[in-house]
Amino acid sequence: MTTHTQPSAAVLPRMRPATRAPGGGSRIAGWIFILPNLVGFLAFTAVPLVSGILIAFTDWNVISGLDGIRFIGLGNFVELVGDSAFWAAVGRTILYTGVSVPVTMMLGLLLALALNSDIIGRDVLRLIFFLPHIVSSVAIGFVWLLIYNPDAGVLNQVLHALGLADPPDWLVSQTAVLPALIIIMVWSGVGFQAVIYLSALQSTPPELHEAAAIDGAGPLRRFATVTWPSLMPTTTFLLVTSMIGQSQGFGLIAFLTQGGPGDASTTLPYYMYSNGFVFYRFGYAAAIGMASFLGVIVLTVLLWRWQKGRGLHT
Amino acid sequence: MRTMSRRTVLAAGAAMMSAAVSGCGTGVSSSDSKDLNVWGGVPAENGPQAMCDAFMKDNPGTTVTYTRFINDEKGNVKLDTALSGGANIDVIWTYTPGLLEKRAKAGTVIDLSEYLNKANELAAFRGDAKPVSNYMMDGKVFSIPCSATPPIVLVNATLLDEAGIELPTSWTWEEYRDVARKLSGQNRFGLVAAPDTAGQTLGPNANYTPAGECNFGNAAFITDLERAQQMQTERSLMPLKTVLAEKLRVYMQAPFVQQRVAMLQGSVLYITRYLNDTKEYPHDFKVACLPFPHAAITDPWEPRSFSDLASITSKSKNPALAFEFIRYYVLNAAKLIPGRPPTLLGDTSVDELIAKTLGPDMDKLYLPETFKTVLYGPQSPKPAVDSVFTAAEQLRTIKEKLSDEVMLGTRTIASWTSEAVKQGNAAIAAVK
Repeated sequence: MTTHTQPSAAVLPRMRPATRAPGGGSRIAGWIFILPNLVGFLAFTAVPLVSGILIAFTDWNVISGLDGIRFIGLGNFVELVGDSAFWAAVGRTILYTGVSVPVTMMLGLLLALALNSDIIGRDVLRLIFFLPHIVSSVAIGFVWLLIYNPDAGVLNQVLHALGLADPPDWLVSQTAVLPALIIIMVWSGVGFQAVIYLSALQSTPPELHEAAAIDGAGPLRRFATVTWPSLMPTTTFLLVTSMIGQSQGFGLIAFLTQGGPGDASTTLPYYMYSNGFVFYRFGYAAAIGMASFLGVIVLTVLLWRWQKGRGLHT
Repeated sequence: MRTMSRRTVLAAGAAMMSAAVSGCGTGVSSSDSKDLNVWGGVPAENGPQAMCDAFMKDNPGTTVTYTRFINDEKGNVKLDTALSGGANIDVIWTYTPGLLEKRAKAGTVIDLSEYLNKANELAAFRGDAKPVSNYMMDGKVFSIPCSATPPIVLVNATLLDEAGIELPTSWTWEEYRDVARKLSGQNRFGLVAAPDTAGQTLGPNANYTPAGECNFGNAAFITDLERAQQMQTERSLMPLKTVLAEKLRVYMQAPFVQQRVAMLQGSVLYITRYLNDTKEYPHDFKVACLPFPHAAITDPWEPRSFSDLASITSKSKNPALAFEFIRYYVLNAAKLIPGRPPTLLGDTSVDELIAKTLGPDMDKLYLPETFKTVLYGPQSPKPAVDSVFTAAEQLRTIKEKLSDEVMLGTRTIASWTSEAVKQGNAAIAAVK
């Protein structure tokens, strides 16, 4: 058994105290170091967040300036409760996020496991799979617009060649548009997830696998008892950040479908954008943002609680 | 202890938001009343800068600074936040009457009636002018339109000629549909967008009942939908599926140039932006300009819309000079702003304007006489100019989305009516 003991004071190098006297120069230096980040955080995160919360309780169209702000209490939230378009957008957002995130993570993990083995051109493959993540959503959208064209698109040509007489109309079908968008999100996100999982896999202590193998555990058993628990912190991180990211996804929908056909791809972010920037109902849009924000917080807390105690080190 | 009131907190939050969104405004501070800051959506190099230069030359001592904003949702919000944040802007251009109404109601722009009453050369834009040539809001005039884009039909004259169809000088929607049917064939359709004719039957404010409610229950809208469905079935109208898949609502010129459609409902802007550019949009057929079809009723309305709506902001330190600039702009637009159909000819002749609009390859690409007749011939004595804009953008969106569902086959016309009325009334109630 290995034990760790504290080194004796005699062998420790002489170190300067971490801080000087209270209010000393190092404290000021600390503030100076964090100042650029603090200013950025206040200007681009804290101020918009606080403003958004306040505006959610108003009827404001921006044009009328500060004099035109009308406090309406919970009026926007009451309207939200009875707004069927809002609830439909909530449902679509849950479906869009709830399917795309787990599927992306699952495929990302499988890809990471494959890339973690000794295969030829592993580094090149890793780069290729990661590329979609760094390409702009407009460029991705343009390529998929061509792929998804119901008449001349590559996908339906292939499906026709495979004998499918009536393939989906993808982005112009009210039933196929969300699955079509989910496919794009999975395609563009799987490489990123794989790279993160890969780094987690490579930091798993190999002796655990060796010990499990000596104890007679097969590959599946080793995955369930060693690999998966060691990946739990990474999984939680990816799950939370992906859920937040996907539930706020806007660019691809704005470029490809503008929430259509009909309302079939109007998710919460697009609904919020329409109410704010198109209809000039910024108070209502802020209330939609607040509702979305609360939903994300609840989801994050639930996910955090779920993962506790399931990891290798937790 | 001193506490902040609820209103103070809200105002502070809104101020923070306003500052965050608007960024930095114009950055020009004017204490000199001979300085003007003007914001428009047309790129400076496409005419506005030349206009400002000419104005400064003709009015020594004045300085006009033109700032271009992108005329989309984000660009307009940027302008509005700059204005509400106190930026020093004298003249702004608005491109839709619905947004102008919002700006007028918010007090961002001022009533121009008094100035207009003193400017006889702009008499056509007064509230009592006949025929109406401007938007009126609560009996006031908040802008002067610098451009009017009469609805026209651009036709592939070569195809028309091949089909043995004579160019009509006047036609009903049914005659128009008949021509579209004759010009359709393998891989070609008559039209890319369905005719929208309710406005010609119902007149101004077609989307509203006299009581101010949503008018989508009116039979005129159903007639339009039925006609569109029939045209899609008979393939005289390009299927909506193709239009959406190729994003052709934004790029209607593309199938017209490729001869995948024979006719294009639109405005002169298609000519100056796309069809004149044979490098980017190569084509070798001639284009004719035909009048907008009319409803087969006695004395139909002709929907008219105006654009490039110039207004003076309430923050302007010199509204008189700002009005003088707008007056100068409108009178010289035909000469200095090529490509934007002007509302007044000024001292420019129709022939000059046609030549400028159709470009150097005029005789090769167009039938110029048709443009002269349609654009500058006698206009309808019954122009339908809207004056109600409550939730206008919401109603437009509702109508388009639900109509798309009908054309894609996922909604019946009967359910279109009930849903459109329900959603329309909810949208109107929400902003009242």
